[in-house]
Amino acid sequence: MNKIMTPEFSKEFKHHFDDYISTGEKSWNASKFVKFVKGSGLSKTNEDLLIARHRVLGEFGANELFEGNGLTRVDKNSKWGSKIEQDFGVAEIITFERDPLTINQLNEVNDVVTLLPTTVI
Amino acid sequence: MMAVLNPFSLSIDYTIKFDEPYLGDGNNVAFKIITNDKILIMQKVMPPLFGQKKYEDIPGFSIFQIELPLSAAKWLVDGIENKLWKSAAQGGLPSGVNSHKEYVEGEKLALYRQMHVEDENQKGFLLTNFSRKSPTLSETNYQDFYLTDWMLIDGKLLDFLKTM
Repeated sequence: MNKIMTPEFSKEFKHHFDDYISTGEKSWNASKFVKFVKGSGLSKTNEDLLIARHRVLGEFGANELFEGNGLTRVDKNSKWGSKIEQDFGVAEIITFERDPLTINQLNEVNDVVTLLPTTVI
Repeated sequence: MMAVLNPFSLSIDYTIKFDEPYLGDGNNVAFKIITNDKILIMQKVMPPLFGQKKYEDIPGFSIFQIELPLSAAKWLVDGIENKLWKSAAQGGLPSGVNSHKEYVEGEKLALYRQMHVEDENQKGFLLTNFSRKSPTLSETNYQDFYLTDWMLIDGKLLDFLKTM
């Protein structure tokens, strides 16, 4: 995770992922993404990192808009994103729980989630 | 290591046991089960990926393939129906466990429950054989193969596997 969830590698992943999506295939299709990467003439290390990054997308929902800096990039092509001025949006969160309760539900039972104030970056 | 089998030109040792449209990855994919007296091979056969000849595994087609011991059919049905489709309360695997790994006829197999198989919110499974190298991907010491619930249920794949 330390190698793939960085600002530099996020750019690298987005570049190859956008190329893959431009073929018309679905973002979730792991088999086809692997074939695409293996056919791109990259180093074995780079192939492995891109495939690992796609698993994080498929299994944890960290899509290509994850910037690796703690915030996701605003998708300017989306309906709401086109009206947003700033470049960064919601915090990057990866959830390992299979079917989690909402934060409000968790805190009703016990104060298990600490809510931190946000600061402008 | 075995190569990708060409299902349109099989040697006499092999028999196609199941050949139906695959449900879960567009309209152009055929799902085949091929056996000989030792192994069971599952294939998804489709037009060349990304419209490019370099992705052909046999002339005119791209293929995803997994090779399994024959008794893996029974193992797969049990893993899907009794372990991963059922909740812990129904007798399935404990809460929080979403994979099942076991040696079957000396081959290390794993079945993982997944929420987005080939499309968003399309539930299914990843089946991996860690004991066989990929026949199509360079330097890949395992075989991954995805199955949707849609194919297992509406595609009657599970019913077929029960007959094996």
